[in-house]
Amino acid sequence: MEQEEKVLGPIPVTVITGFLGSGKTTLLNRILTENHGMRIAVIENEFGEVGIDDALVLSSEEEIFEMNNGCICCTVRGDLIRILGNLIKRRDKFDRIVIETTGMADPAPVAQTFFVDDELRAACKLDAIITVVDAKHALQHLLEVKEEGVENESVEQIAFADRIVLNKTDIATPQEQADVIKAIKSLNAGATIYPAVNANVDLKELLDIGAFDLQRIMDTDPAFLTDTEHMHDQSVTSVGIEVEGALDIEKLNGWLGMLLGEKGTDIYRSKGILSIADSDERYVFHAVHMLFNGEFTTKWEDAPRVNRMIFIGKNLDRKELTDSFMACMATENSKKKSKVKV
Amino acid sequence: METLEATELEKMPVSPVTMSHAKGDSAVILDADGGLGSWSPSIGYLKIADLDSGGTDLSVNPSGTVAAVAGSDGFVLYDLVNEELITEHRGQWSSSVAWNKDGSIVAVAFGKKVKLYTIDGTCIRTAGDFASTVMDLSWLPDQENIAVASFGGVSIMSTVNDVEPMQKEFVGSLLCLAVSPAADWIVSGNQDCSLQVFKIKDSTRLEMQGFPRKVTDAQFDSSGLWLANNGADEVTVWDFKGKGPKGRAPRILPKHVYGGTALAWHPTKAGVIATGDGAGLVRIWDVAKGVPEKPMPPMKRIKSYSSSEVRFILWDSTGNNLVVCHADGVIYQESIV
Repeated sequence: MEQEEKVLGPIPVTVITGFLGSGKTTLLNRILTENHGMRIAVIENEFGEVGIDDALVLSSEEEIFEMNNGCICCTVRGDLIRILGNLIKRRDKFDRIVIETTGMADPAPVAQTFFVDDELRAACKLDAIITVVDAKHALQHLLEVKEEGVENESVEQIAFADRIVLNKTDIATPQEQADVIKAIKSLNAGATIYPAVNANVDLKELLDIGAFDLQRIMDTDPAFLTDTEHMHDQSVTSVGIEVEGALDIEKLNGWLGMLLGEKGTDIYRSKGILSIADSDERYVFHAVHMLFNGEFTTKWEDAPRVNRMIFIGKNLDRKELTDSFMACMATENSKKKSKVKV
Repeated sequence: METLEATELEKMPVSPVTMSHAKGDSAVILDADGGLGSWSPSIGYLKIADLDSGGTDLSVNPSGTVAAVAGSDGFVLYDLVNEELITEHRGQWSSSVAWNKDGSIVAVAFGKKVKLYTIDGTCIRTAGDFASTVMDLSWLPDQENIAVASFGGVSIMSTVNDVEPMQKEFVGSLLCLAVSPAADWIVSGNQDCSLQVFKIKDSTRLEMQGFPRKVTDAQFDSSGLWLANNGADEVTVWDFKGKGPKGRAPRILPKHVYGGTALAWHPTKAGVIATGDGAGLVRIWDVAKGVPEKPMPPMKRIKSYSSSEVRFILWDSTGNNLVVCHADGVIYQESIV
């Protein structure tokens, strides 16, 4: 008997984060019940209450593992490695995986799991991190002052997000919405914000984004370089750099290596589309903490060769980042010609 | 005995996870959806039961009558003779199940705990919490202790009392265990692409780092002189003769496309191993004929009926036949004589 083998590519994985009561489960239910024809496997936290017959639902108790060198980048989610490894063996049963984290979850180990584990890297592709924010109550969480050394999870969840669903706008006043949007943008200028009631966002805006896909980074960040006012009492912010000209690849590698090595603990996410001297192709990279992935992608052809980068993290020094980036330009000539926008 | 021709091979409908010997020449197979089936060279695959939980591990008792099945939502004991459930426990991830030598007790990884059951489904001991979900279990030859793999190292727990388990510490996430037949060594394959070797009687720990992939399978041969592990496009075999592998270069079994996905030592011949790779190739090696550090040629290549990953290899009790199980559900037996 001959059977036609269907070639199955890497499984797209969407991560939904958000503080308790923000509407993560509502969004998950929307994703599961919308008429999109996709078969979805859900990994939900142990307290989840999703009861969807058509979905393959696996519960997960957060198990964060530090690998033996103690580096923050080697902190991964052991539960996800285990569960995803099992799901890979049932690859033909579903088209997509959605991971719903607990309200207190740190998104970094979730994202890092997909960088660090070779089996998952080959079988899955992290599509995007979506953070659901309660428009009425989020600000109080974001402004909450934590003890020294204790992270504010709601800040981290926004800092790591590719898309933000600003939920419950029906119960928030226009001023409350404006305040929380301002706070979000000060933390993460690159994430697109979707105001919503009952998480009613068009799923095309949330699924198949390719936020970690080097080939698609430049297509998917309309707000890549939106500059914003900063909240004075927040140490987490984003810094964008946009500059024309060509970079010296050796200087760039040296700088990025040193920057992410020394300050990767504070830099949550970074990504860039860069113009490299003597290359016709765009150099695209993204990183989660110190874990870096970059490659040459499409040709510039007639497009202006503009370098664009964004850093999101704690204690970022805009001037220092910009100056050190400028020091990577290929020639003195090109530096002088460059226009810097930050 | 009549066997199925290659043209008659039918695929299992769901990808298999693992298989275990049962009665006579038959085997029991667990699929990724938690389906339990039987396979024999004359009949092929027959579904026995749907256990409704992503399958992770399977162990059949020595008499071939009871299957212990682990899954993503708990475990079950299943009576293979009467085809009925003996007991089931849901609500926790179960990664590993292992019968002791005489088949009187089955050890079950259940979340962060280890539970011991008699064959009638009575729980006689619960131990834990371990530092993470238990990933693998292995009985020590004395049948009174069980090695438990979890984050942070190996714990050796007693089956008979509540004394604190002996710890073999290692800061990392353990994925698989192997205990040497003489009970002198415990080896773990790890998430950080290393192999950790612990001497049971003292605090000696050896470390083999630098595998390009995580080490998910490590096994001693029947003599205890050789240990094979995956983690690379080569299967690595370590010489445990005498004082162990310290300072000795390993034997290299080369050219495993996408890594060694299945390892199976011959049941009686020391140093003879069958390996499968991600491209569906199965080869047999006599590692004693190899030279340390130099890739060696296989003793025999097995005709393959599938190019999908070899999921499992099982020698029959005579050591004359191999059952090969691929990820796409193709299963067949090949004579090695």
